[in-house]
Amino acid sequence: MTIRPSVASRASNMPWIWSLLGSLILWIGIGIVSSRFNLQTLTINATLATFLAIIGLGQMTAITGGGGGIDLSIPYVVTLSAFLSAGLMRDSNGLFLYGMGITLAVGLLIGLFNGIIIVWVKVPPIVATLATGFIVDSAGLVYAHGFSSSLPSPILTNFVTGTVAGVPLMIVGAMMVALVLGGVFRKMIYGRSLLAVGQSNKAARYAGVPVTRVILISYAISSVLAALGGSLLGAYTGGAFLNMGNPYLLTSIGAVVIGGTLISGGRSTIIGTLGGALFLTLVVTLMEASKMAIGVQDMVEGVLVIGVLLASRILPT
Amino acid sequence: MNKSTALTPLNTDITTTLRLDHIVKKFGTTVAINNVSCAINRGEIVGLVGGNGAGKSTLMRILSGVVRPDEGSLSIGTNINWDEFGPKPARELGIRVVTQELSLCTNLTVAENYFIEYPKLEGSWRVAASQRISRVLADIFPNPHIGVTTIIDDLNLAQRQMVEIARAVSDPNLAWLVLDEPTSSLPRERVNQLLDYLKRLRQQGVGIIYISHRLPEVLAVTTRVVAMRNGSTSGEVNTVDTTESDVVGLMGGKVTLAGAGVHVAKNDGESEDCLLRLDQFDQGILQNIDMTINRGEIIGISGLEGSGQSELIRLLYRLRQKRSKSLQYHGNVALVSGNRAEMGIFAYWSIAKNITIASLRQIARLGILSNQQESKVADYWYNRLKFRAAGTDSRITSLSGGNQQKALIARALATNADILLLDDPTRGVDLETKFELYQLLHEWANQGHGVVWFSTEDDEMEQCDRVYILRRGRVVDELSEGITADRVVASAFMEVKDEKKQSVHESTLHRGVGWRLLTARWNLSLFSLIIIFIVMGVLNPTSISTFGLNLLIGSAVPLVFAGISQMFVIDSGGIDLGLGAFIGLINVITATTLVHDPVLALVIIIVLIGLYALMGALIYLSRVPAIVITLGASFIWLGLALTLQPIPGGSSPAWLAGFWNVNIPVIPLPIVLSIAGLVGVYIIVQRTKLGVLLRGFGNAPNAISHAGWSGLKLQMGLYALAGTAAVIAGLFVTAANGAADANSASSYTLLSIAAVILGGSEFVGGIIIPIGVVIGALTLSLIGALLGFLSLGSDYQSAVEGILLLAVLGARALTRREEN
Repeated sequence: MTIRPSVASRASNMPWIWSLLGSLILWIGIGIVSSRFNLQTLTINATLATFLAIIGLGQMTAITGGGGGIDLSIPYVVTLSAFLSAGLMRDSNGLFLYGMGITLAVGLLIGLFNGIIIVWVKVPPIVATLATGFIVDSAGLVYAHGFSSSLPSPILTNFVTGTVAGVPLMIVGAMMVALVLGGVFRKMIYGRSLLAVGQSNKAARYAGVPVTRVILISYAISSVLAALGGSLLGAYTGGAFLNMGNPYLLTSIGAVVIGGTLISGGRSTIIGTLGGALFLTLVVTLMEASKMAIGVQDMVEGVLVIGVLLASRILPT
Repeated sequence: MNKSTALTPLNTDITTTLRLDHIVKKFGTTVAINNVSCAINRGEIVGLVGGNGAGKSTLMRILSGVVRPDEGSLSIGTNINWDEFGPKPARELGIRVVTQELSLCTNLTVAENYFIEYPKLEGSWRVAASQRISRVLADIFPNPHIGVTTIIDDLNLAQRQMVEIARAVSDPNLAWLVLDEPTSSLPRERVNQLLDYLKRLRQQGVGIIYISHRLPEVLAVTTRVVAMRNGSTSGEVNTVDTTESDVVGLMGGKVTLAGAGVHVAKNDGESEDCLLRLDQFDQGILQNIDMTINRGEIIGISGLEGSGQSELIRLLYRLRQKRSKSLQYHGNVALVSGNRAEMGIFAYWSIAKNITIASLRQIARLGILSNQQESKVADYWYNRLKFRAAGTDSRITSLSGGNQQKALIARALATNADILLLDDPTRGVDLETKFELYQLLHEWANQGHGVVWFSTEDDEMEQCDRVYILRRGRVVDELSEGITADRVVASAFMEVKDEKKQSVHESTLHRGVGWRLLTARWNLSLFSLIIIFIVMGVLNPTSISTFGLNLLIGSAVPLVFAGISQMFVIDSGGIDLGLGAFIGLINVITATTLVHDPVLALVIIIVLIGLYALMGALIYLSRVPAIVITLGASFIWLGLALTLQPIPGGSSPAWLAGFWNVNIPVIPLPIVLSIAGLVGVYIIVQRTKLGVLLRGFGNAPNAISHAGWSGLKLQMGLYALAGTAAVIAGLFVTAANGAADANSASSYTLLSIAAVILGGSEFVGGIIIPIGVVIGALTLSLIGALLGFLSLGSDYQSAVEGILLLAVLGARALTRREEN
């Protein structure tokens, strides 16, 4: 006898479905408010959401390792990377690889530093990444103040604003990042090990998983993606500015949990994080379209984040 | 009889009998208690003995109201309705149980722990609690050498045990006392004192159940001995008529699992290859262990509970990559834990993934997993171990305990490791699966693998070729040839003659104020603060003047209160990521509404504090981590603030702005006010009953709620206090800035966490130190000023904060490592 799984239990196996459904509803909502239905609103918002998506995927990786895993240094890495990539590329295509390479390498080092403090000094992730974030913050400020305004390579600027066959290149790029990370999570020893550590650190240890190395790498991935997101964002906004990464502290966590990734670790969804990023971006667009005051917009966002979390607890899993 | 004793049982009818009838308790498919009946009279001491896993502790947990049985009845004079029974009603009936897991809050003092269980104290509660507990302590254990104002963390295990016993017997309502292994960590002298005391207690009409592995003690103090085995009573005898060996015989009972048709795989001596050799191995509790494990052998590890068996198994796994003379591996190792929930299963995964996690390299090429290979491995073990499930894709949590255990065994076997370590693998596993497992292990050994098997079930030792018996971390016996459960039990209970007397250090840990200051958790940040002060004084002497200090400390005050607020949330086990936004909201309200309409502002502020308490309740009830709920709330606070004041503006109320300009003769007013506020916080946290409960709640929520307090209310209280401190912080922000700005305080979210941690508080364990928070906040604030004097510019401020935070945490990690 085969038992047909109910719709509800199927949905609980696909926690990401909610953020996509929510995005769909918001898109319709925007259509109603602006009395204009088109696919363009969706692509514009999706493009805006790609930056949050890339950064959020990094946050998700840090959270997946469990044990209170979280990366609070992300906003500072984003800001520093935006400045760094622009400063190094100096508006020249020839310096693109050099600038991008150094920026990502700095991100990698910051991530490894986070990981080392967490794994070896055994500082709780929230404090370790906070302390690292403070240091990166200063680095960003110092670099920014010795900064003569310059732009990233035209290649990069053209990439973030360009399209191919009508599809924004940023969407293609974010999809590539998501696919690669998806491959790591689903098909690679590393991803499998990280998910194991996130479910039960002890069980993973006694199953022979190299727990410390796995966690270390998860913070490296988080920082590298933040650095990538920061460089792209800097190119998109036409130059870096101070504190540009700040909104990403809250929204990166928000996109991850709205997407259905467990904040306690061990179960993650990449599609969900993409959906969460799109959802949060559409929320802002909808509220702006309906001429909602900025304060009310924030309140709605807060109620949504809490509401989604409570709902995910009450619905069966 | 000692007249000073505080004990006068209220239940004056000392002819009552406590009767457990036909008790049955199952955990899943395991029968823990199988139709047990027993009775105890007032004024009687009954010894309850039995091997590991005989069901003694479960029976006592039923009696204490923590576990509800499936069948059977309890009567004390009248029949008791299980629906109305629980930890609190049990205590009201005069039942007190001292378990092996002590229930003290380790961050509180001895007297404070007493207060948690006996809150109704007259006069000065602190004095009353101290007097009572020290009197009872001295009554049981003359010259107890335990300062009642000592924090439990500073007591050794024996002293903690003494406190736990004293606290239980000081119940004025005491009628029935259960002691579960009360002497496991007590030195001989204290044991004798306790036994003497129990005899006195008995004469006062208290009925006592004494559970112990130490048969001489049981025979010395009890009037009757009841033996249990495999969840049933296996014998009962009057103490005067019996001897130690008789009692061991009673516990031995009949071996039910023997002759399961499984034949032990003997190592016929042909293969001499040794897989694992321990040579005078010392680590932790384990001392001087000599052991060899050869190919084809099943080695049992047994002994009384807590003799180091489990530690040994886990160490053998953890040290698998170390090379040393005392521990030599000649093969690789895999481990199977019986603690499935905590150390075994991956709950979100299928059977297949649970099996392959330990052998991912076998199913991958270049780091990429092959689905085909994975199902091949999973299917093979699924069939070989005869899982009872819907397929390898079934989620592991949908399986019975026995089938989950099969997945863990399959995981270990799939690695094809030479040495298989078993850490009590049949805990809570059904009989059929057990037999299958035995068969499998013999096959495995026959194939030339070695098995090291720790089990709490003595019967299983009969499956082994050799058995090592541990006692207090040492090997005290090695059995081979004709191993029976009886022999294992007898050997485990054997009093070892040359056993070194455990010298328990009983120094008075009641230390002076000076010593405490020196070793305080916050001294590292105090040290940094002093250095910052000195450097500033040298660089710029005017900064130490009244005016300079006023300016410097004035800017630190909001952070001090933000830190206090964060501290309360951290005590509850959470983190408040919305704190900065909330302080910004208070800043906006106090710089706008408060100016025009003070009454309305006051109402709003009270409502906001109420919302904080509500947030605490939401976190407690939904069990969603505080970090995400407060993150969501931060949007709400910010939104409210922006709605009230979209762009920076407004002004501080005149009286509030005046704060900064008033100098009472020498000391500036803000400092006076903030010191007053901090003294208030200190008193609440350290001196009041509420503070004791709040700290205890942060340390051991279960101990607090078993004592009859509401966790929900305490959590709401903590958040209300956090909200109040944040309101004060917001007031000071307004006073300092003189304007409303929703974003004015956003940096306080992360800085407040840094201040709390710098000050020596911990994320877990209810360790909160208000004075440490103050020092941490001052340090963080003054760094900015210092950098200004060094003309380094504010750009470097956060880096210095970050480095300081890391340095302090690093130093603390180092000192902790040295302590261990």
